[in-house]
Amino acid sequence: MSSISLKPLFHVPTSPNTSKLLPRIATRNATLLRRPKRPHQFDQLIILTDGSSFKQMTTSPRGVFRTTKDTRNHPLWNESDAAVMGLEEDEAGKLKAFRNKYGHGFDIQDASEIKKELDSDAVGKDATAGSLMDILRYKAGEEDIKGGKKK
Amino acid sequence: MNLLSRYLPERLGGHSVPFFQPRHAFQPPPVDTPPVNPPLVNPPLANPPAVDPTKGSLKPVEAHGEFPRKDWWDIAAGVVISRPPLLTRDLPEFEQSYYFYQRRLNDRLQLPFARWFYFKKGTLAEDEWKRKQAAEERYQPYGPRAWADELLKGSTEHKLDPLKDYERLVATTVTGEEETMSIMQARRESAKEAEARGEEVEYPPEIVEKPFPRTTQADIENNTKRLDRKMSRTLYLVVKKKRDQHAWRFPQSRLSGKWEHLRWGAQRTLLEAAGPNMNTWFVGSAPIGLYKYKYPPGYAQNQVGKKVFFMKARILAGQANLTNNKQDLEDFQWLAKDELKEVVGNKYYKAVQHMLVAQ
Repeated sequence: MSSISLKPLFHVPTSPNTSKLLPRIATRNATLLRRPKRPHQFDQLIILTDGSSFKQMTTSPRGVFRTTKDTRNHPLWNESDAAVMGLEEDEAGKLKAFRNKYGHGFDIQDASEIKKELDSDAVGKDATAGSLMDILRYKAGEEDIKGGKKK
Repeated sequence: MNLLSRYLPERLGGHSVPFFQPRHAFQPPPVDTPPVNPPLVNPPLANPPAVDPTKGSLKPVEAHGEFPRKDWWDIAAGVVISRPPLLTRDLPEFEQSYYFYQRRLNDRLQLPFARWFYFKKGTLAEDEWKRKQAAEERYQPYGPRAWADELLKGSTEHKLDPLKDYERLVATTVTGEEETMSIMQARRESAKEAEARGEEVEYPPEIVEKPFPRTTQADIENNTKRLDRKMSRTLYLVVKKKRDQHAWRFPQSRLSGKWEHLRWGAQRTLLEAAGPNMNTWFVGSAPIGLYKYKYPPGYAQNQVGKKVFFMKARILAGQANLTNNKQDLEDFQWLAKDELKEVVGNKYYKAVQHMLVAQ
């Protein structure tokens, strides 16, 4: 594409006395423009996790899109919603396996909540099973977490 | 002095006026000579009141006449608490037609869809796409009837309807919605069966099947106490005082004590009037409006009238509760601006209308 010289359509007389404060006129000479290629777009309905929805234009042919994680179920945007703040997703069951192995000492939850959980069902089940799980449910102290040398 | 001296720096013959001056109506312009102290209207008191340093005000109190002054007004803090819109606004007919026109124009000008980029040949998704696209009668921008792109008279195609949109999109595009719905249904049924058998069951998370409509039960009943009515409009809280005329007002009360300022007063007012079950946010410390009225003669000993300064607040969660309210209030309503006009008096509305949002 050759360079386009932007010359004003008419000559504005500039005398040495007039300052550079006069406005410049935006100009462009008539040139042939290529027809822009607009991508093919569809209507799309986005349904958020709380059921609210909005419509947008997109190149994707999927007409309805459901989000699994958005501002409506993220704790950063829902500080006052206890359900969202305390929700822990454990899809593969890895966290449950960890707790079974190492106990509840490493949880972010409060001590009272852990105690409630222990008292409710878990201990009873372990006791009847006759395993040593109750001994393994210890609360990790500071020295254990920091991993310092044992005196 | 010429006009420019006010703006030029001192070395060029101007005044030492700062570049940015707050544009208050009552700020006097700079003058050549300093102003003379205005003469006192009344002579100072023989025994001016002593100032207790522990109670504040380090400067001596100047008495400009008798105390209290002639023009003594009660100061009150009022609360304009709003529930901002939860939905985008309803589009008028003209805008809907305009956007429909733009969509049709886009249909005609855009490139054709590159199906092979999204759907591989021979897959089930491709079959589903072809079947669904052919099912419904739609405008074809490239074809024998490409010229018939206008909206016909009496047609409702341009009107926005979220439920109709959902059904149309599920019927014409590959979304995976049918599978999702059938899987959810199957999970729910199996969970119910397991519960009936007495096993421990984990219910699948509830998902909303179809998008909610823009109007709720509160709109149908026109229940003005509910906050989910008129979700595309701003609602304001008005409370009803125990009197026949001019009963509906924004919550307000006189400032109590020496050190209560407007924002504190407004927060206390709202707490006393509507209870603590509201998560609110008071925006700033500056009032957004003023309503002043004179008392009828003989009503008050010293005061001429009352000046109510309104503070802006927003409700984020909760609801107003008038039980055990300390301001003798009977009822409350959450109203939009046009509904408020009918309920409060003309004079009050004139003072208050510019604080409120029409949408």
